[in-house]
Amino acid sequence: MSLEQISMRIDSRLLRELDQIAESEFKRRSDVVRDALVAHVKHEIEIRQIKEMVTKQFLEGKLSLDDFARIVSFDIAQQIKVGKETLKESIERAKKDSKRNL
Amino acid sequence: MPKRTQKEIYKTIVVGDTSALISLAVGSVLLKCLRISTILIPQEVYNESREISQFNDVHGKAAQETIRMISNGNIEVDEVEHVNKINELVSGYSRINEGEAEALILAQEKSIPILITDDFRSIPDLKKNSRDVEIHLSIYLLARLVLENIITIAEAQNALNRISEGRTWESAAIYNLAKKYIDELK
Repeated sequence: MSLEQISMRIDSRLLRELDQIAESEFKRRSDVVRDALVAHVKHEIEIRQIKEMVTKQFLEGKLSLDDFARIVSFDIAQQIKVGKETLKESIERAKKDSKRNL
Repeated sequence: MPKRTQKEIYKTIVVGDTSALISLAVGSVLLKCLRISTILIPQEVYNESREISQFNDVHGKAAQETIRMISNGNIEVDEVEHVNKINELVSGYSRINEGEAEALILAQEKSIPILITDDFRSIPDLKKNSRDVEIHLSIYLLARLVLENIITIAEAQNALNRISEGRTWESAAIYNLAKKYIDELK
């Protein structure tokens, strides 16, 4: 796996705290940043995988809207609910309009 | 209703927003859709497509194809009369962007019964304001292509795979469900 370099600007107070953590853990500054980034990205990926799994369950009718909303948020649950309903309506309309050409 | 000879296909007319056109172009089915439907767009959808066409990615290339089809006259651009209604929608509903608002108003003004959009976030608010216009996903046209034997189910599945790549996980979930419904069409 190749390594890429990034640069960033951070608040000076945060940088001092970062350096304190690095010193206390006998690590380089960049190692602390890299570890934090890896942990955050891994966490986000896990959250996303959970949301994808519960979305699949909801769309298959195996999870209620309330339970689904508790995990993914009400807004997203509503969006997916309406998306599913619109998908069904679109397919039904396609069947209806296609009959004219068959 | 237009007259139809034995060889003529009954063509619907739909208004498309940017997201729907991009989806169909990414799925490589946009040109085929014109065999079964006239597609009309408002000026703002043309403007949005031009902006997206500047990017050198999948969506940018899809937007370039859309622009080509507009230039060739395959997709018609039309003007909205009541511009104030566009502003009312955009300012009243944060999830409706200008292109979608224009597309809806255009459909209402021209009495076109179908608006196609793939912006899942805006669909609830579009439906609240749609009156006689039905809001459908681009999958409406994709399903018709299968039902009218213009593409196969496998081709439709491939199109949906391409469309769902690079979309949010929420949208991808809907496209995965769409693959199941497409599979059940025949």
